[in-house]
Amino acid sequence: MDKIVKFSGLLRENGIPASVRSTQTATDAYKLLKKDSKENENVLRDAFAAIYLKDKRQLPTFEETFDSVFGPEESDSVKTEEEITDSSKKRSNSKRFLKAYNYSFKVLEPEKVKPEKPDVDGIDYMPPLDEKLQDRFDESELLQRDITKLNSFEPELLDLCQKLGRKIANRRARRLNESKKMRPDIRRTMRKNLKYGGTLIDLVRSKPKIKKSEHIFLNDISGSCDWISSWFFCMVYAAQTSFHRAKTFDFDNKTIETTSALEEPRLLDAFVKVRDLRQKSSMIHGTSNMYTAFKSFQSQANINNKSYVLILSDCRDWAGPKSDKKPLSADVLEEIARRAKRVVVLNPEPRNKWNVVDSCVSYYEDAGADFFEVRNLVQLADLVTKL
Amino acid sequence: MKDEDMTIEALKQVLNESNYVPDDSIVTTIFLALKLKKPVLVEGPPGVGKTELSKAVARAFGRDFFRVQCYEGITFEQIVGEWNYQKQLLHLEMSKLTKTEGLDTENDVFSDEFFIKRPLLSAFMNDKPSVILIDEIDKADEEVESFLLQALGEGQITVNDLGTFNLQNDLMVILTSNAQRMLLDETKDRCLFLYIDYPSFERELSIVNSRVPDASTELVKKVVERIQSIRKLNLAKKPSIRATVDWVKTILALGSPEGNDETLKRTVGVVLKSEDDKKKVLKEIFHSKE
Repeated sequence: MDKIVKFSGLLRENGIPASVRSTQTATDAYKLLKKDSKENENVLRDAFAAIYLKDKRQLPTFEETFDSVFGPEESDSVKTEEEITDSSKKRSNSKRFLKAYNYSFKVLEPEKVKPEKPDVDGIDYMPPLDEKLQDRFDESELLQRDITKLNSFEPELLDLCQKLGRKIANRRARRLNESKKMRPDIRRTMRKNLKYGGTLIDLVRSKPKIKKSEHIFLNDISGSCDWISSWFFCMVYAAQTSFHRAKTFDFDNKTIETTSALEEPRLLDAFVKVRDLRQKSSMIHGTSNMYTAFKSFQSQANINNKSYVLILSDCRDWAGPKSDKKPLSADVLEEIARRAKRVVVLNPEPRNKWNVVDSCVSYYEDAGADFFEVRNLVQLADLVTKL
Repeated sequence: MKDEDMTIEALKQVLNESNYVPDDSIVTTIFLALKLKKPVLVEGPPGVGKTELSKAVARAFGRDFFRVQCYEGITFEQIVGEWNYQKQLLHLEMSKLTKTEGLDTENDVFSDEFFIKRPLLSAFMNDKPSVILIDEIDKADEEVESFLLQALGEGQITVNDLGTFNLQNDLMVILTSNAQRMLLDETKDRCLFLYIDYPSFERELSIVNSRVPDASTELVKKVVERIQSIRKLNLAKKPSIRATVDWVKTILALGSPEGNDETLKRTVGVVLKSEDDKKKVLKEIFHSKE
């Protein structure tokens, strides 16, 4: 019993909401299985997974916690590299990867968060070294901050993007269920009320149309847009269930598909996988060549009349070929726009910088793309919700 | 088999006998659901046997089976039941004509006789132990989900003008979801959670063998191997178990019991649902140059 209570507590600490009801059910199950299967660990694991888990993405965390409480005690104390489970290995790899990548890695482990000391006499004896640390959790500030300045790895941003993504998913799902607000369907209403002798008793409303569009996200990861694309990916990751089919691509002077990262059980792993894919394709701080990138995107993405293509880019075609000052990438984009249902470009640059120097905004607009200015995360989330 | 003397092994055997090949987590979850009388929430990609599981449980224990198919805009009336307006109107007209003294017409038309029971109420009122499948709960509105929560949690359904119905039997509830929207935390908390993923090679082999007993072991093995490698590709729609079974049946129907590579290549369209996927599979798995 104590072990189960401890297990529930640990799960809560690790972010899995274990209710009192779950603890109670787990206790009942433990009694049942103890009699039945002679403390078979795997059966107990399956049973507790059924009771405590509410989402398959919680499974790796659950497995780790289960092993720490119910795993063999000897192995707990002397844990060798091989004994570490796949998921925990992956997690440590993720951290190592980000460190190797020279990013300030500051993910807050629950057990490492120190409670704030009460300010007794008004003097803070431990002032933070970095003043920014104080407002680390000020979400509204982060949401409103200029998106182009969000260019370092901050764990709270990862959380925030995940939260925004979930919000997007819920809003989008709700939008599909708005049948009550729909207009009356006169034809169906008449047909239904015929059985009441033509007296209007039931009003039939038209049903919301389910759009089975395919959403393709194409992120510019050249120097200026690198981090924005990462945050955008996080949002898409968290909201992916609300899209019928989502595909993600990254580009600088070529395009790679990163859709496989959306299948990772954890956001951090997905985030790292994308970075890994970029690194493997030597796409770190590259220079944009939108002509070659769009060409390779066109061949990889199988765009059709159900595809919504969303491009997150500042549209600065540094290295792309031009003819009569017109970037050739605009022609490729025109072809993409003709085949797709809609092409939307989310531009993180302020509007007054559009069409300045090598920006291709007007050419792309002529090619059939719709442009939106995305200055902060809220704007970005709003636009994604409305897709 | 009675629920009291059931063990995990026995449950596995019973499910196998009713033509469902479960894995360990499925057996354990169903075992707990039967013993602890808890609803089960089953998630997983389409075509992995979520719906079939509930049918198999009903078959295995000789329980009656009820099904509520949820969709956007489904209402209380479509789940619980509704008044039969036509019958009520006819009854009123009849009572006007006959003008029988001493009859309470108003109460008459709101009696059991004029109420059409829909699956949930039928399952509640059934005499025998039953299984109710609430399919694709994520497609229903949140109000419906909340209502179900109350009904299933308290074992009671209240219908206006008719009264409250108490649960009359040992009802096992299985909900399925494709995770299109987040379910309410309360729903999740009340249910046992079961995620059914695409099966392992061995399990899929057993499933196909049990579904298509006429097929040779070599053919089934060959098809399952291909299906497993197809699933590893990044496809828009991965082939389900249903698709594997269909593929084997197609090959048999074409009169090629050994299933050579050419036949497999020709019939791969059975398991793939889009042209893009087909192209990718032909290129990566069948090394086609087209």
